Amino acid sequence: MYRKDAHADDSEPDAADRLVEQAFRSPSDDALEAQLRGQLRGFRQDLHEHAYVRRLERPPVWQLLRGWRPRLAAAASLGAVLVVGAVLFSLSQSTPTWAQVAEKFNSVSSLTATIYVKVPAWKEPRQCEVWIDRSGKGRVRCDSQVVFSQGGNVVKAFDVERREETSPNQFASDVIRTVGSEGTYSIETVLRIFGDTLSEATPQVNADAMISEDLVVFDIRSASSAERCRVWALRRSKLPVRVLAVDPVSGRVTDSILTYSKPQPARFFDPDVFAEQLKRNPGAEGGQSYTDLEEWIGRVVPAETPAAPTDGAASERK
Amino acid sequence: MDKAEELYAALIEPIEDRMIAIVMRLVRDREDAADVFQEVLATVWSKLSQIHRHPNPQACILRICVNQAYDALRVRARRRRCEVPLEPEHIEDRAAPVAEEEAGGRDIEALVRAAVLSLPVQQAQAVLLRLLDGESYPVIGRILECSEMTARSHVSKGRARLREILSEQGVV
Repeated sequence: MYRKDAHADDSEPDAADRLVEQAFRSPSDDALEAQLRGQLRGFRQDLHEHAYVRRLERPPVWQLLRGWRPRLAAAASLGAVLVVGAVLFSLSQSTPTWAQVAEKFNSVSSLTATIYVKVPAWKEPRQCEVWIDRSGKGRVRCDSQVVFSQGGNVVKAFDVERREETSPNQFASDVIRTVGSEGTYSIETVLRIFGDTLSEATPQVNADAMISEDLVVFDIRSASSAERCRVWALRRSKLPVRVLAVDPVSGRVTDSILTYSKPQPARFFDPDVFAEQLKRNPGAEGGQSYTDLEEWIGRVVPAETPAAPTDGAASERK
Repeated sequence: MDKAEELYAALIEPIEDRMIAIVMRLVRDREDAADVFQEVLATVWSKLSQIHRHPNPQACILRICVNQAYDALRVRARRRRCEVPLEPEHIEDRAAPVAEEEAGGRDIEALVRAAVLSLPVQQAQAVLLRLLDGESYPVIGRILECSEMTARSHVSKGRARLREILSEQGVV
């Protein structure tokens, strides 16, 4: 029974091996062997019914399409699906470059920015709202002041609280001068609000910071100062939505939320219209800051303060 | 030739004799052997697609045979241990009349089978494939899904351990 093969390097069979052979020697049982072979025959016949074998016997889809026309149509459909899929995938996956973001930003007709500044970092933030349109007109609300500008120059400034024309505060002036210095705004001019040297550096995509698939993150490190900045842009529209700048030396933190809307009406940027309404509505102190602003939380901010309801009107509503 | 015939000719036909031999040698009881063989075929049936895609389908089927037969052997050995305890003194009186000698021979076979079954599974299977079927080490390795070197090691260790056990029991 023991067969020595070409690879065998173990010892010759000994008494123990012979005992094992003897103990497990094949019983000469023809009937049993015939029975087992019968089982194999049954298995062989049943194999035709096996689900896997049936699947193998089924012709591939390609063979079901008889003739060149159905095959061509199927191939064309498959190709079209693949192309559309590839295009959609690339559109959804491609990361915009900074040049694309800048180009897209420069093409929008109107920009609103809410800027928070903390100097140093532990101080309460100072908030400033900026509206600019492509013609170079701007309006800034900073503290109690509303400042109007044209092409980077302050036209008029009003103190809404005191309800009179005033000289603009420094921060509002700086913003207006920076953004409007070139007649119109660009991503570079916006970055100058956040740091003098940031617009000189090349923003780099930061893949590690892109947790959300919808957002692309660009990091900017100034070459000549410690200033650094991060810009979040929407992947599909390529528009920047948030800019955060930090100067670790001074502790200045500037955070800005950028939103985009239809251009504001001309009267919104007209200081004379604003001055007139300021005179006419002595009761509307806080709301005057947003006078004539369209689509501000779904409505035009009324230029005039609605009259307080009378008792009769109140009872009518009831 | 249809797919079923193709599959049978490729997977089972070349090893029909070896499948039957493994089961008959390990499971000597006729009824048990038929049951075990049916179990083997049922397992092959249920895993047919995996076996077909296996890089070495025939080794895979032989492994099923060895495993099923070996399991049956162990079950039967456990059953016998409960029924008739195997005592070494049963084989001490070797110079007995022919009838007693035959009975002693059967006891020795039972002891040897028990000794084989006391080995670790992989060792026992490797030893049986080597000694009974004369399989080469590469084939044993493929059946047991291990390397040729590991198969050699299993056979070598198994044989050494068997010699020890049978020597302790005074059989060799």
